[in-house]
Amino acid sequence: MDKFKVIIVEDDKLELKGTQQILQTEVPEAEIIGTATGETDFWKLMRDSQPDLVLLDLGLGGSTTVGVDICRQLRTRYADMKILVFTGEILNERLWVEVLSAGADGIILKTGNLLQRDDIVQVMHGRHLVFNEPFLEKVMARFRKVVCKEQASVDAFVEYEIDEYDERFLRHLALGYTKDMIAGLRQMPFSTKSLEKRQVDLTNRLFSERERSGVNAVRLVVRAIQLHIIDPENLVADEQ
Amino acid sequence: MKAQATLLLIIALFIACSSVDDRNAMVVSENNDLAYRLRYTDISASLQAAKKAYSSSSENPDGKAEALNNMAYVAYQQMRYDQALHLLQHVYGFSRNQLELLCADVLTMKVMQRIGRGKSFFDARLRAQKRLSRILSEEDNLTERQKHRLHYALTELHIVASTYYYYLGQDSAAISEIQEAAQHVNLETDTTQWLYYHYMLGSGGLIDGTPEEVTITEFNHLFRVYTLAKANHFTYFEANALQSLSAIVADSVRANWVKQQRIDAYSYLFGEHLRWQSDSTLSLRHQFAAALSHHSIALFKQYHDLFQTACAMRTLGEVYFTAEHYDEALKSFRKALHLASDFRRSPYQVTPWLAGIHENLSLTYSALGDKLSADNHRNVYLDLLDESRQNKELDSRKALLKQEAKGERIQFFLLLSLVFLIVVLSILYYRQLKRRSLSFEKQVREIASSEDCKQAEHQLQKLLQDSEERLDESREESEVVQQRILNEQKRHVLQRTKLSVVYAIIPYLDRVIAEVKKLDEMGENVSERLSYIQELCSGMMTINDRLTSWIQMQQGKLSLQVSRFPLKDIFEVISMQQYAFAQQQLTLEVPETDLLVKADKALTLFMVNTLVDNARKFTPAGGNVTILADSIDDFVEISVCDTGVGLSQEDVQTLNDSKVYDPNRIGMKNASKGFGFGIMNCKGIINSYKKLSSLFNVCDFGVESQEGQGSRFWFRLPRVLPLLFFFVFNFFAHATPQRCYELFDSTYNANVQGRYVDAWLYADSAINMVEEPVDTVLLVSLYNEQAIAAQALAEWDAYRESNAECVRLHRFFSSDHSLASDCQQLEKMNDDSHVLYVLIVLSLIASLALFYRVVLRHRLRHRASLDDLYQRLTCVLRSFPENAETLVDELKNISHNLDQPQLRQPVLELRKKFASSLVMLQETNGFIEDIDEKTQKQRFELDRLYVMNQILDNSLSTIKHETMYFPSRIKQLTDDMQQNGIDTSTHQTLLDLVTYYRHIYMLLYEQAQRQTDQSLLRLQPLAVTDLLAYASTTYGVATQPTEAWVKGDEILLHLLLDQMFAVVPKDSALIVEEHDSMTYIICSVSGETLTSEQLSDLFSPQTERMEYLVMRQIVREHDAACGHPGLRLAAENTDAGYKISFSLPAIHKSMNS
Repeated sequence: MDKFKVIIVEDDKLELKGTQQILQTEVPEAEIIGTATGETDFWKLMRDSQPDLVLLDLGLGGSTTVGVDICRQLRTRYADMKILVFTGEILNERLWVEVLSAGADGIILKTGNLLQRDDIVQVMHGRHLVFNEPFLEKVMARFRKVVCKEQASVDAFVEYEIDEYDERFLRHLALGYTKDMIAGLRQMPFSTKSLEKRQVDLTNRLFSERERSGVNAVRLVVRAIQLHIIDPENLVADEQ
Repeated sequence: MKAQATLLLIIALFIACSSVDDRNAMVVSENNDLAYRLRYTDISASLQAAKKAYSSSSENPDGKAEALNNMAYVAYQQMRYDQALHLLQHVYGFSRNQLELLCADVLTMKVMQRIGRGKSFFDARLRAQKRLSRILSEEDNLTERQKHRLHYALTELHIVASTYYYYLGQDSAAISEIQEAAQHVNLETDTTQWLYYHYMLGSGGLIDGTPEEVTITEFNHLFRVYTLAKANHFTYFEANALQSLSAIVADSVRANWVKQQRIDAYSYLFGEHLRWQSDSTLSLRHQFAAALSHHSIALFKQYHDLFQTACAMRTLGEVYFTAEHYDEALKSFRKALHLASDFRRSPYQVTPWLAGIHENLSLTYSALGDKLSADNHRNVYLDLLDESRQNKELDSRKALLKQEAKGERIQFFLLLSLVFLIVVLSILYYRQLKRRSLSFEKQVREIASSEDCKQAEHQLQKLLQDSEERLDESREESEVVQQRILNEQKRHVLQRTKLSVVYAIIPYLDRVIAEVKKLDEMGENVSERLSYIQELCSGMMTINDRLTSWIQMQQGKLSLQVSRFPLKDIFEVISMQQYAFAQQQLTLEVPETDLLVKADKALTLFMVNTLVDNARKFTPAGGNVTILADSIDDFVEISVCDTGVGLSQEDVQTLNDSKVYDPNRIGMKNASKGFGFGIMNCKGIINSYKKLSSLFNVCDFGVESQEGQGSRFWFRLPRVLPLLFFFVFNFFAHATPQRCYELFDSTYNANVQGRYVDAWLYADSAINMVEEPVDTVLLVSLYNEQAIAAQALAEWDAYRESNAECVRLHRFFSSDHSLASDCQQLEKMNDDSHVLYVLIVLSLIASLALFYRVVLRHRLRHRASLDDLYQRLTCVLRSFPENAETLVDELKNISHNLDQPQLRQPVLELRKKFASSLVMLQETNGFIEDIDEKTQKQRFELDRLYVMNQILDNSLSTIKHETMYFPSRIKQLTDDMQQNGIDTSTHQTLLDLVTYYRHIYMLLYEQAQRQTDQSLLRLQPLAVTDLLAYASTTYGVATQPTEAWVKGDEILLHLLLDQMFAVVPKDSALIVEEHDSMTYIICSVSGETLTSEQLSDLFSPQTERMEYLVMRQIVREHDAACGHPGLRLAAENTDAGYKISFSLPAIHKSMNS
């Protein structure tokens, strides 16, 4: 890896010190051409010299997410500049998304294994989406959840013996279709009467004997959502 | 002895008296019996006996009546009819004895028949019949003597009636009557009546059959009467029988039949009367007949019966007439007429009989050729006939009808009066109705000034007042709540700020951990790293110090909202979760309790709710969760018990004893994660009570559980002691052929001119042309003219035939043609008047009905509707204010359904009167409702915020207490390392410590984090001017006008400004700038600058003033809410001093919009 110029933007002196130390000890190729604790300082530095990499803390002083704006501006002005964002906002997932949209090449969470040499190397090699381990752990946790949910859906189809018509029926019920309307769908070769039977049948499948009394269409749909049979985020009506 | 004698004397006198009475009664009845028996034998003796009976009957009204009847009978026989009637009137006057009254009636009939007063005859007959039916109904109660008397009366009644009809020529009626009499005649019980009956049968006209049979039968009856009467000295019947026999003997045909068939009796009679034959000029048969008459006359004279003597004389005359000894006949007739009229001892004449004698005279004179006398007598005869015509019954009926009509006129008059009265009453009633209606109407018109209305108005005013007061109260309350919410919101921001400070340690801590881990890598920079770790620890300690001092600074303000409240309030809210429980097939049992506790209501609700939520989560379907509230000593123990999975002993111990623990590790495996957070908060709350005052020393919290069996979580709070015609007239048109009248005229003229044969022929032809019912008068006249012609021609048979027909028709109709029609008319009138009554009554009913239907009903309805209206109005007014909400609608309904349009106005006015006030009241109540509802929501919000803040307090406090020690400990360890070098164990100890520190710290932070709610931020477009105005009015800050608009939360921005001016001088100026779609509000402070140290740490956790951190928190939250546009908050030195600026998302909105 060639030598490169770095500007560290960090408002907390102790943390700045820590980061400087990491760079110094682990990434000798890095040449810290300046540090800034605030937005004004940073842009002053930028006027003087342009770094190859900017290690940017999201929060600077009272402006807790000013980094997002800075990142956006940097990316606009310097398309090739590598930007690695530091953040202590280990729970603020939305902010991470904002940061990545703003053009950051990676996010380093200020927890666990902080900045590693590898992270810097990867960024400098032009890799995007460089995340440190704690960040990846969190992303994985989220990913696992989604995958588990999808699996739960598949399991539910098997366990409750849901066929495509059941799914379609439930999905349209959820969309507020009446049984007459559902019976009118091209891909629903059933009469209203048989749909009513289907509903009773579904109720029997999705609810235990004790739970069945008083179950109406709404309860049935809610149950289907709870069991991941239908996905409330993908409720789309079939073409008529 | 003397007393005994007196007693005996009294008894003797009593017996004597009673025996005198009895004897008198006996004398009376004996004499009466005697008078009755002697009636047809010796009339004088009968009279004497009757008088004797009468004189002894002063004490015996029945006997007296009988005596008077007997005396009257004698008077009748002696032709003293007025006297007889007088005596009978006397009987009617005093007697109540129906039997004697019946006898009197019968005798009256006899008298009336004799004197030809048909009307009176019928009157008496009617009376008798009525009486008879009454007596017969009680026949069983009669004594033998009375029965005897009844039989007499009955027989006499029918015989008299029969006689009457006989003389009137109504043979069939006469026969029917005599047959009736036959039923009551008995030879053994009453010989006289038996004789009377048989005499009647013998006297002629009452027997059916061929003339020969009739003659023989009559003869037989008469002969039997004669022989029996003679043997028993019943002179009267003996004479009568002889008289009738004489008439039979005088008739050659009849006499021959008798001679042929009853030669024995005929011979006997003939022999018997040889000595009575005086006139030898006559044939033997005529001599015999005259002898019989003479004997009869002699007997009647002996018997002192003038009338019968005259009758016998007439019979003698008829004998002579048949013998054509007209002079002798004339002598006899004149003698008879003389006897009957000379002896007019009463104003009454025996009219029918006189008519007969005049006819005899007319015929005799005619025979003698004295046409003038004959005509005279014929005229008298016709006149008398007229008098005694047979329409007597009708006459009587007419009078009765007239009387009835008179009575009915009275009734009619009464009816009319009644009608009038009803009409008058109706009018009066109508007027009264009208008056009442008017008074109701007036009441309705004046409803607005009625007492009820005033009362209602008063009530309304009071309600309005109350309502306004309540509105004010509600507003105040709402303001209070709002203010408290504001406070809690601000407090929450502060809490979040504190939490952000807490969080600020995490990056340091992570760096420490990273550094510590790197210490393991042997090599250079150890000392550097250690000192860096120490620096980081110092940083953490600084942050901790700041937080601690801040928390301590606010501790004084920290207070629980302690109040006394019924647990019921809490349980009611909790029981609303029953549906959620039922969804999971769980039962939630909430007790009824009236216990009162002293605690923080919101927190208590939070605690119960937390425990119930936990119980619900960890109890499988079918189980139940029970809340209990037990009063023990001076506290109330509230328990939430479940039949859930339960907790291990270990967990129970942890929950009960540890201050800090990992909630995620509590409970059964993975199924019951997160169990402990709520429990921890509850414990924290209980602890804060304890810290507040010694009153809360009884507060405690505990868990009891048995794995698989369920748990009981309880806490204790201090207990407080406790409160609606017509008439048809028939017009009869008579159309008699003109030819008949012409023939009648010819007949009459022929008679006058002595052309009797022509007259007879004319009459005969005319008669054949006339139909009887059509013109009876003409027919009678024709028969009369024919009779006159026959009489003149001495054609006696033809005469008799014509005369009989004339008399018959005459009797029925001619002379009193009007009577029948009068009767008819009267009857019709009576019928009509009955019809009239009915019609009057019907028309009265109809008119009343019409009156009711047309007027009264309307009036009544009107009145009723007015009454109803008034009642409704009053009711509406009286039920005020219960019907406050519906009053206007009710009045509107009333005015819409009003039957009287003229009353709409007052109702509308009344409505108007209330409407505006009621609308106001409703509006006010609506406001109150809205405000109260809003307040209710706010209260809920407030409680939520309050509870969050309270728990955050507890959490922060816990964090402070539980983690404060770590940084210094780390520092201490690194110090040791610095001095003594690093070995594996010390390194590991440091790593463990740091790791544990981070773990516990994150745990507590997350626990606290759960209690924050950033969604509280309500972004809205705000005019920057308003923000500046806030600052300028509150802090006197100089501002510039601006048209900028931003997006933000007003409350928080106000708080931001509050914080800002808490740290900057009040003479600062606020400037607004706008660039990069952001609006910057810049506070420029002149005169002083900030050091670079201050500038770099100003918004960091190490800052001296927490206000900067609060400002940072507010900007940060706005940034998050706006999607991270990178809002700024910065401070920098300027030429004149320094400025603090913050940015907000600018929105382009004109001031006008």
